[in-house]
Order: sequence, then C-alpha cells, then structure tokens
Amino acid sequence: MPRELIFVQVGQCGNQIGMRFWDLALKEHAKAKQSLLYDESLSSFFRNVNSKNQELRIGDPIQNLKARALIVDMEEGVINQIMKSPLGELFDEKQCINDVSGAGNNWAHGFYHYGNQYEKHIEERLRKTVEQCDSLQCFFMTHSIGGGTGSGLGSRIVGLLEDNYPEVFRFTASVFPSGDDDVVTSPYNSLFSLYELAKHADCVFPIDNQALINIVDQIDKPNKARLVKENAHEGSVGIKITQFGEEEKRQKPFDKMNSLIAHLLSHITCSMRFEGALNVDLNEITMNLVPYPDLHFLISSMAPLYSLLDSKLQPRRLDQMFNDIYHPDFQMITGQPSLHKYLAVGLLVRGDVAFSDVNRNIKKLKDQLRMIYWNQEGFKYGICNQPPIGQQYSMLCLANNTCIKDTFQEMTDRFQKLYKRKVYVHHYKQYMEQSHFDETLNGIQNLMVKYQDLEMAQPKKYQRIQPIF
Amino acid sequence: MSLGFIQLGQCGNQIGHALFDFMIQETQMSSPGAQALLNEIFFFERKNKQIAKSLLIDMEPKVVDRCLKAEYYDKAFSLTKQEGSGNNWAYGFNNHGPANKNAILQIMDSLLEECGYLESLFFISSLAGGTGSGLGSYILELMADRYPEIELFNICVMPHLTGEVILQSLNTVLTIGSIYQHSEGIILLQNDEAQALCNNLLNLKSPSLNDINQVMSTNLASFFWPCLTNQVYSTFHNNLQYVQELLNITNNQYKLLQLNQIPQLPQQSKAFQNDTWSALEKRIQQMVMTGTKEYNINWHKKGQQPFKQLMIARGNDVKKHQFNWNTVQDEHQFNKNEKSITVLHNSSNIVESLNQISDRANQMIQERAYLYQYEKFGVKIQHFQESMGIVEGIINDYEQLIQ
Repeated sequence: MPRELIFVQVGQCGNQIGMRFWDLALKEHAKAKQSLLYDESLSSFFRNVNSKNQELRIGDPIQNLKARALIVDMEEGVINQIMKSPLGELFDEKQCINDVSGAGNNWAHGFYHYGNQYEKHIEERLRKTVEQCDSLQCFFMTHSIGGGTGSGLGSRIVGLLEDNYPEVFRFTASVFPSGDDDVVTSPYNSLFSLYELAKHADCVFPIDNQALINIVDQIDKPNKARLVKENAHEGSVGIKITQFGEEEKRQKPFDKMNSLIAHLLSHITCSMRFEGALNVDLNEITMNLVPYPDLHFLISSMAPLYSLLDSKLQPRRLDQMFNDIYHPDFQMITGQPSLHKYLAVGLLVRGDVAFSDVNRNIKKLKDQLRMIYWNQEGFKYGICNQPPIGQQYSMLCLANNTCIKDTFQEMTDRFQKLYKRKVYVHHYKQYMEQSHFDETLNGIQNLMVKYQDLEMAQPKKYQRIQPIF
Repeated sequence: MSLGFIQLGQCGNQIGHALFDFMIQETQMSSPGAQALLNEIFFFERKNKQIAKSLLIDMEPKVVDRCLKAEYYDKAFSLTKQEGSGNNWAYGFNNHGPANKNAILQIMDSLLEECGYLESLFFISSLAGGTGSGLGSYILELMADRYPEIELFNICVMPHLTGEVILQSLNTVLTIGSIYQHSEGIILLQNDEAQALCNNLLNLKSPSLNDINQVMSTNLASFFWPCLTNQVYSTFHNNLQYVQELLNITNNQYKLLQLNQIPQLPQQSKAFQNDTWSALEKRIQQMVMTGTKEYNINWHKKGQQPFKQLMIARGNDVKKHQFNWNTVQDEHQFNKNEKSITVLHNSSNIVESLNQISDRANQMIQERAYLYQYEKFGVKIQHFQESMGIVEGIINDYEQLIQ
C-alpha cells in the first residue's frame, strides 16, 4: 500500500516545470531499481495500467505508467507539446483540463472567469484521481504567480483542494516574478496569488527566475577544467554531466532552470519513496518547519551544484557542502537569510552521508546562524540513502526565515506603484470588485508584520511551571 | 522467565532489530547454557523457527519491512500503516492510537498465546518523534489497562541536544508526562553519548546512524544477556532476575535509569585489554558517581552515590574477585571483552539534560510556537502545562537527592 502524491501543473510555467520533473522522476526510478516490476516507490508518482486501461497492482510487471497528475492550462500550446512528446504517454486526456484562449496575464480572469467555468470539471477530475490512490499524502502544485492561468486558476485550485480535501497536504512550488519581469501586470497577479497561498496552502516553496539564472551560471562557469578531468574516467571527455544528468547541449533555454526545480521536487519527496537511515516525510516537513500556520514560506537551497565523480567521500568536500548551503548563491529565491532570523531549518541529505557528519556540521554552523531565541536548536534533519542522478550525495536546505518579508515588501511596493495610479485596474474589475485589491494589501501587510515581530523578538525569561506533586 | 518487547517507530524498530541481531550473533561465542536461556527468555518457536518475542509497530512501512527480512521476526506480530505521524505526538496518541487499538490488542493477544506468558514488556522508542513517543504512550496506557499483571518498562532514546527534530523537547515532555505513571522504569539512552563513545573510544570518527544504533543496542544487550555461573548442562539458572532487579532500583518517585558499560573498545584492541576487576570497578563507580563517561572520567570530583544501582560483571574469572558492591555475575566474555561491567543506575545526574529539555519546551509553549499542530489533534495547552508540571516534579525529586 503505497503513499501517493498528486501533481497539479497549472499554466505554461507550471507545465514546463512538470515536464522536467516527470523526466527526472522516470530516470531516478529506473536507476534505483533495475527490475521491471511496478513497486511501492514507483506508485507514489505513477499508476500502472494495462492496454485495457485497468489498474494493475504492486508487484506486477510494468506495462503502462500513468502519472498521477492533473494538467491544467487555458491555452493549447504547451499541452499540445506535452502530449506530442514521448512523455505524453504518461498522461491520458482525461487528466488534461484545457481551453484555447488563455488568461491574458490577468489573475482575475484565471481565478474568477476560468475558475467559475471549470470548477465543477476540476473537482470531478480531482475526485477521479484521488480515488485511484490508496493513501494520498499530498497535492503538489507547480505554477508561476506572475501570469494569468498559473497564478489565477492555480490560486483557485489551491482553495478548491482545501475545501474538498482538507486533510491532504497542499504544497506548492511557486515561481515568483523577478524584478525585471516582462509581464506588466505581474505585480498585481503575484500579490493576489500570494494572498491566496498564504490562506490556503500548507507549505510554499518560493522560487525566482533570477536566483535560478544565478545558479545555472555557476554551474556553467569554468571550473570546467576540473570537471573535464573528473569526467575523463567516465569516457566522455568534454561533455559535462551536470546536476541535470543529461548532456548539456541538448537542452533548451528554460530547461536547465526548470530542471533545478524538478530536482527540488524530487529531493523533497525522496524520503517517501526510498529507504533512509532517518526518514523525513512531507508531514514532518510542515510539522517541524512551520511554527505558526501562516508562516509557511520556505526558502530552499541545494548543494552541491555540480557533479562529484569521486567515488570516495572526502570530508572536506562534504563539509564544504554544508557551508555552501547557507550561501545566497545556492538559494532558489533571492534573499539574505543570514541577515535575518531563522525560525526553523530543515536539512535533507541524500546519499552516503553519515549521521554524525550532519550533526558535527550543524554544531559548527549553529553559531553563525541567527536562530530565533526559542528555537536555538531548530534543526530537523533527514537522511535518505538514494542519491540523486549523477551525484554521490546532495543536500537540500529548507529554511523558514524572516527575510521572506523583504521579498513580500518588494512585491507590495511594485503593486503599489501601479495601484496608486490605478493602472490596469479596469482589466481586473471586469471580474472582481476593487475592494479585493485593498483586502489583499491588508492581508499581506498583516503577514509581514508577523514576520517582523518574530525578527525583532527578544529573549524573554519565562517562569518555569510549578511541579505537580 | 519471559521478556517481551514492543518496537515502536523508526528508532524503536532499528534499535530492537540491532539488539536481537547482536544477541543472536553473540550466541555463536557463548555456552549452550546461555543459548538455551536466551531462547527461553526472548524467543518462542513457531513453524519450526525461533521467533523473537517482539511486536513491531510503525505508522510508516519502510523500517519494519526491513526488519521483517530477518529470520527471527514474523509478520504476524507486526503492524504498519502508510502515513507516519509527522513527528506529532498528538497525532500518534489521539489519532493512530484509537484507530489501531483493536489491531494492536490482536497482535498482542497472538503473541501471548504463542509464548504462554510474559513477565514484562519493554517498549523501545525515541522521545523525539511522533509514533514512538505518541503512539507509544497510548499503547503503554492500553497495556497497563488490559494486562495489569505484566510489568511495563520503557527504553527511550533521547535525541542530540543540539537538535535533530525541532519538536523534540515538546514531544519528550508530553511523553514523560504520559508514561511516568504507568511505567515501572525508564531506561534513557542518549544519542549524544553513543556518538561520543564512537568518536572517543571506538575509533569511529564519522559514525553512521547504524554505528550509533549498534553501540546502543550492544550496551542494552550487556544488560539483557543472561548471567550464568556454575554451568551444569542440565540446570540453567539465570542469576539475573530482570524484573525483580529493575523493581529494586526504582520506585514511584524515581524511575529514570541510565546505562553504563565498560570497557568500550574497538574490536582490534580487545586482545590487548589487561584491566583488572578492581580497576574496572573503580572506573565505573567513578563514572556513575560523577555522571561522566569512560573517556572523560572526572577523578577529582567526589561525586554522589547513586540512589540505586544494579551492577553486572561478566568474564570467565568473575567468581575469583571480591566485588565491593552487590554484583550479578556471569562467566561469559561478553562482546569479546575479557572482562566487562555493566551498571544500570538511578541517579540525579540526569537532571542536567532534563532541565535543558524542560527549558526549551517551556520557551516554545510560552511563545505558542507549533502548538496549533498539536491542537489540531486534541492536545491543548493545558495538556502541555500538566505534562510540564509532571516533568518539573521529577526534576525536583531528583534535585532533592543531590547533597
């Protein structure tokens, strides 16, 4: 009896990320188990059906894998691409919910217009997908929040998930717009989405394009000489095996960035699928890293960023990984957590890393991190035995840090710049009341105040409770 | 004599597994008498195999599945679910507990049927997580109710004090608050200590979790291993009356026990061991009185006699020595050590760790951090306050012992 996840890919960005993810998932499972049997770890992400579309059980040979996913887009281009590609076999049309004309980069169009139109349809498809699961753990949504579909319809779906399945966790990997985003209405779209995510999601992993570009640049930079030498004994000189596990030259522009996100998703769910000395399930992630229900935005960073082909684990490199993870260059969202307060930190390690190495490094780093006073030992760590593709080991750090409020502040500022002059507001008023703008601003303001309060919190001396005799 | 175990959660199952593995391996170097006793005390026969008297319970499947690969475990005495407890004590206690009550009683009944009777049950779990701690507390209450004639003991693993699970202090406080009334004795094992033993004495610079589990389970085995002197092939008498001895060193107020075993040596060094019994005795007594470990024994401090202690000496010339303290003797060379001593003691040096845990839990409770997660499953702030009260009472009692 497996523990399943259902993916919900919404909008252009969400679907493109989704495709990289499915590609990676198949590769990972193929590498983990050489047998051709449908096993428990595969069943977290896939169903197995025969040619008559009947469900097969665990232990049966693999016939047709179908992804446990819902593909949502209000324009055809990306979905058509997906269905035409080899990965298209993972989906049948019943899993796709689409329309033709798109949402025009208008959150309200996505949320209200398409939301209302497709609500019943989405609920029904969800129900069918959920019924195919024995023990559903969570929904994982991928989308961007700057556009119209991913942001508007995506937000609507998160709310629907909460209404219909309140017990099932709702995680999102949300792409936040960068400062120089080319969609003019993205400040509105992103703040509206942010408000919905704050209300209805259990855990959000914010990601921004600028940070991803930064990471991709670092991987591409020379240290090439060293990497070529390391690759030499693999028999393929000059072709770098990057974090992505495939040949670099075949990749399209956003592919590398999306692959990073795919790696993030895989890393978060690895403990559910593979064995480990110290398992960390998704429910443990929310439990440990979210001290107050609204404050569920986790900054993710991953290390190392390049492939290490040495077969022996060298302690210096391992320790280096621990140092790197706290450096802003390795983050998936721009921000300066070291200048703010950490509320909680999760460290998920994959591969052959000893428990005591993790412990030792945490002891060393503890003093450099500003932890909130009542959570000085606020570390949760997990060890999964299965390393990621192309690497011996890797680490994911999920930090609940008050620096996210700076990100929210920037988003609010950009929103205000437009809203003060009521620019483009009429586009939104076609579908909703203007009061929504003010309500959203208020909501985000409250959220930022909560973070600010925690940032400024000073240690208090509390009386210990009197003993009971 | 018949001792049963309940392995709870990831930690409990890993440690239980390592304990049985070790004991079975140890039989290869022990007398037929010891082997026979071991079988009688810890195993029963089913379908021509020796099965451990142990229930394997976890709310996620992977660890128990791994354990079941061993010859001496049987799926009929295991219970697993899919979703885990999310490190949430309340979820383990209020949700998984009642939901699995019947299944748990059913496997317990089956176990009792197969082994005839059980003198006691040892619950093995960690204090930091959700299943071992939360569900474990529920099951302890359930067993106390259903089988009042079986003596219940706990073996609890404390996480690294520098942090392993963010909720560890909250979960620990809730667990101790719950089990203290039903448990006859709580053996506390510490990750910090096991890791330090690996680093400082066993030549393992980077011990894996497996290494740490092995150190802990070996030390546990040094208590559980039968004690035989005058081995006559027809009559095997275990010098160690487990339950009676444990009840002797605990009472209603003082139930926390710590385990020390010396010498701790890497396998390669054992051949060169030349400690005398006197030297070992002095060392371990100083360790117990000052609350220090073999690698940092404080010889200058006078220290404090433990409230109560149980000492076990194992080695083939054990009868020749006149021990200063009441000692249970065993002629077996345990874990290839020519001579070794184990002390299970009830003393106040546990207070320091308890104070730390209580402080941290207190801070979080005052800040209301994470409490909403527990409230969702029926554990409100009053429950926390009551548990804190119980823990403070325990600390207070132990502090009275310090002169």
